[in-house]
Amino acid sequence: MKQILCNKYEVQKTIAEGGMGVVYLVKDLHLDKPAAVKVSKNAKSESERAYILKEVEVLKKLSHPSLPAVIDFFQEGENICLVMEYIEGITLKEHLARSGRVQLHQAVRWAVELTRTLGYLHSRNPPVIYRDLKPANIMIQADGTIRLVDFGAAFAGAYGQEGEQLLVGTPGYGAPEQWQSAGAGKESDIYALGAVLHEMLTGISPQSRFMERRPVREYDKSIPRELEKVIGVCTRRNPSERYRSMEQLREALLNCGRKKWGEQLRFFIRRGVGRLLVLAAVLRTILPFLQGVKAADFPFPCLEMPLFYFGAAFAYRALFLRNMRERKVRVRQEKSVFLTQKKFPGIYVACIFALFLSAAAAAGKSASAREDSGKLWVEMRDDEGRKMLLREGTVYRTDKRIRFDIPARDMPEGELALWLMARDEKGAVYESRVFLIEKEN
Amino acid sequence: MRLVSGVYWDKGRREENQDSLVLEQVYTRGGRVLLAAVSDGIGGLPEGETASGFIVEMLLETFYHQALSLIERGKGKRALERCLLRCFFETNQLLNQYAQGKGIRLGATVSVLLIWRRNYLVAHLGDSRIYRLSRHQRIRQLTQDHSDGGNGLLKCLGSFPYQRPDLSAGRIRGKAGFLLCSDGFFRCLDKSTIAEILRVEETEGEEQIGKRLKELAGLGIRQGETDNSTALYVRCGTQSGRRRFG
Repeated sequence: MKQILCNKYEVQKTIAEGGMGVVYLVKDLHLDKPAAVKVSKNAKSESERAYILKEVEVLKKLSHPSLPAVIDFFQEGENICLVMEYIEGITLKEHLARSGRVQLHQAVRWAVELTRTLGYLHSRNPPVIYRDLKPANIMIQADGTIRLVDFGAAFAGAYGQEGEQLLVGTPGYGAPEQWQSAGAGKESDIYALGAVLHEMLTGISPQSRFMERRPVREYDKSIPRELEKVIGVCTRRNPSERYRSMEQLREALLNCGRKKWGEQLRFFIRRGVGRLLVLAAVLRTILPFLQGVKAADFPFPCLEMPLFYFGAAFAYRALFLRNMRERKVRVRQEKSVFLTQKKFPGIYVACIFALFLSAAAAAGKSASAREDSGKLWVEMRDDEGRKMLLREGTVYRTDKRIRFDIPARDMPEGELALWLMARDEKGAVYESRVFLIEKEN
Repeated sequence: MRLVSGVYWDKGRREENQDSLVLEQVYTRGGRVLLAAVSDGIGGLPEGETASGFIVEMLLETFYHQALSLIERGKGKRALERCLLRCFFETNQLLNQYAQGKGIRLGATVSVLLIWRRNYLVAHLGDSRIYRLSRHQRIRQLTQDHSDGGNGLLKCLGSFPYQRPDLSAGRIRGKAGFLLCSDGFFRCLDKSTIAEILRVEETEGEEQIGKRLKELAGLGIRQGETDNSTALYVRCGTQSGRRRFG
């Protein structure tokens, strides 16, 4: 038996599942037409509830052909349900997985469409920042037009709103400032659009662990130099160096689409000169032999001119045509499977984890977490001062001494008696003298 | 060269899966390059999954940071062999350090296959296997089991003195398939069954490969196999199925 939501929407299938909830394809039993329902599960706390309600608030004020229309909104038990227009088609991510990459003119057309949609969002009062632009959130419809879905990360009033401090976005697409200060503005969406355009043109996901974002012309020389510059400007680390608005970016993209006859002509002339030099060298080598060469003239002066032309062609190529090869592919990841149950997820994940830890430490969260635990935190260090893990049952080998550190911030108020007790393999107990410690205020 | 691949990874009736696998396929200026590796943690020792996971992680790092640049620069199999040997040696040292710190012993088998420009290179330690399948259901075991016939392993990678892996190389002519599997996958199967189900002429798509690997694993389970089961199949075609990039 199929599940029915709000006595009206019959669940057909699951479209997507994420951390915040599930999106179902449903049939509106009253109107007999499909719709998409986003069910946010387990929103027990007020903050989670407020976060979901915010998406509704953002969406209900918007009206644009490239955005999904909100049809209904209701709560069923602990679940919050948002009924939206069902958009039929495939995501850009699926399209890229099937065809590798997008044709140049199509990629530019879609990027221009995205600038229009995002420009509309930014022009609202207060501005709506999308914050999570990525191929998985872009739907391609049967007629080739694109639409944005999933406004879970979007928020209104980016400027001057102190409350919005959540780290939202997708690594690789999210602008650096989104991770560093949790502050996202119009420039963050411009950065994400640059990242999406780069992926459309090269087929390389910025989420690939080993792929750094290289200029697009290193992958395909047929991409105009202007477009490479546009992507470069969009994806600059400093937000103030990026385009200031979506309108400015759209103008730059439209300028790239116009054919540059002058540049094409220069390309053909430069390549033509190189080929003429090679042809001249070949002819100067072959023709004398066809007419007959005296034994005294071989190898010199017979081969003087051919060698000169070959040298000139080589030098010309090295100087002017070195960067004009049409295909200069670097590494493109086609498939990646890594399956393990190893608990420690690896050095790359460890780096990301370390970044998060350092961010948490900067915010003073780590200290407060230890204080809340109610336990005295003792750090053990080896001879060289390196911190060691205090895991129960672990054997540590040492040849000189072990140092125990008690960070003063973890000390409780008042006087503290401390003594060390050690037990060997046979059960014999060794105790140190008792020390009294008091935290200095 | 067209490469199609699929994987099977299941913990069987054990509580945890101590096998790890990696499959990376990239397109470079030097053509398509593929790294496939299967590692099986030693069951009798603790943290088998850590050992196998760490080994494939090290292989992955070596592949991207060293092997690919060697292939791009047109280096031959000698250079790649040295690169893999270095990786094995470093992994052995790091596992030794890890085991010393925790006061345990751990280890895993490892079978690696590297394919580039119709060449292949195999590095192997332990009792996992690599089979080569060719047309007309011909199958050949490329690796030699480093075991005493029972459960005892004679060679492995872990917190033990360094043991040099077996290295072999060859050239791929026409259509061919490579199956990398852990002992839990092949123990209850004979070569002819594997060759019959994974026919080179019939395995064209990834989904098909996945289904056939599952079918083979199912045969093993029906015959009483309880161990972790991992398999990875790579089929090398003769021509490119898609337009070249760029």
